[in-house]
Amino acid sequence: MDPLDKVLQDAAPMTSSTDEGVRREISSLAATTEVPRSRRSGRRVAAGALAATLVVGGAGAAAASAGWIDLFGWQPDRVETLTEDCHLGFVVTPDSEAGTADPGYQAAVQALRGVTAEQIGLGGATDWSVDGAQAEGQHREAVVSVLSLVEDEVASQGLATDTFGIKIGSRCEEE
Amino acid sequence: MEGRSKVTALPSGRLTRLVEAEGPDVLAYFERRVRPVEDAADLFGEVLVVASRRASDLPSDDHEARLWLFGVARNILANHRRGAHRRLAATGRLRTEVIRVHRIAQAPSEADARVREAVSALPDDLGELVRLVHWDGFGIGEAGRLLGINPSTARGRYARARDLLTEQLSPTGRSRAVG
Repeated sequence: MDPLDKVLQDAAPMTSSTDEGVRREISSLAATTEVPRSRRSGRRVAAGALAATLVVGGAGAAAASAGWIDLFGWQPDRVETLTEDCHLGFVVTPDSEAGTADPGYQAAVQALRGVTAEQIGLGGATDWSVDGAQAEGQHREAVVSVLSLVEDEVASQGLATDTFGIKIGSRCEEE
Repeated sequence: MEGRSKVTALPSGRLTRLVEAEGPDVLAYFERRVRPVEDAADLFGEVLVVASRRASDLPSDDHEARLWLFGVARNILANHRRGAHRRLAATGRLRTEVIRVHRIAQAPSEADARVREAVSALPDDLGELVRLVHWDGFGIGEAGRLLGINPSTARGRYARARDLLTEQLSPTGRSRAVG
């Protein structure tokens, strides 16, 4: 072996990869890749770390004539209909100097459009016409779910995930 | 995005076998590149998340599958260096194990530390090529693929890296570096 090859090989930083306990954990984790997994569990895992990038807002009983910009100051990239009168809007906001030209931001906008209502966990018995802390909690759940899905997709493309955020708002209109 | 659904089920045990076979090397790849070293466990967990979701892209050839998995790892490392980091509950025990092993590990010898410094002092693209070849066990062409460069360019850069390291690690190079 060439002397340089040997000194380089010998200088390789020690790792834990040959340790039995570590290998056991890796095998255990490997097994989980085959288990059907709910996107909701992934969402919960991500919640704490991603919370700083979230912005939520709500208008429990908006005037029927008011638009998204009137209510929240932004136009959603994606609107999900919850009930006949309630809608949930999502917008990706650029957080880097590159603004909307940032590739991560652009990928996030595309990813947001591809997310399904089932993935977000919308529907069911959730009452979206509520206000106050309950509404905030529901919005936070939904935006964490969406952000996790979008961030996974952007990361899988090898793009930065810290150059955008997601805002969410709900409007429920009263007759 | 089209293929996503609320529940993700994989069609076979191939990914499990791949992770069992290559997982220790992927973890080692992160351990050699991130600090604190236990963050390697979280990045490893992210590899599993992404690999599970993209399992339909898994190459049928085992060798190609290894490169594919490291390609996923490299993207996740790049995001980590841009500041993105997630602490995954599922990898908590692996994180603890990594900490345990490193706590009892011996410090590198002076000679090894000097070699690592010399590798770190190389331009980024050359240093990573050396790490992939000598520490992670890839051929020069494979390392080039992971870095997104063609084999000819990889060989040229590798030769340049060796020249620089030889110079840096020679007694003359050392005195020059110190003086």
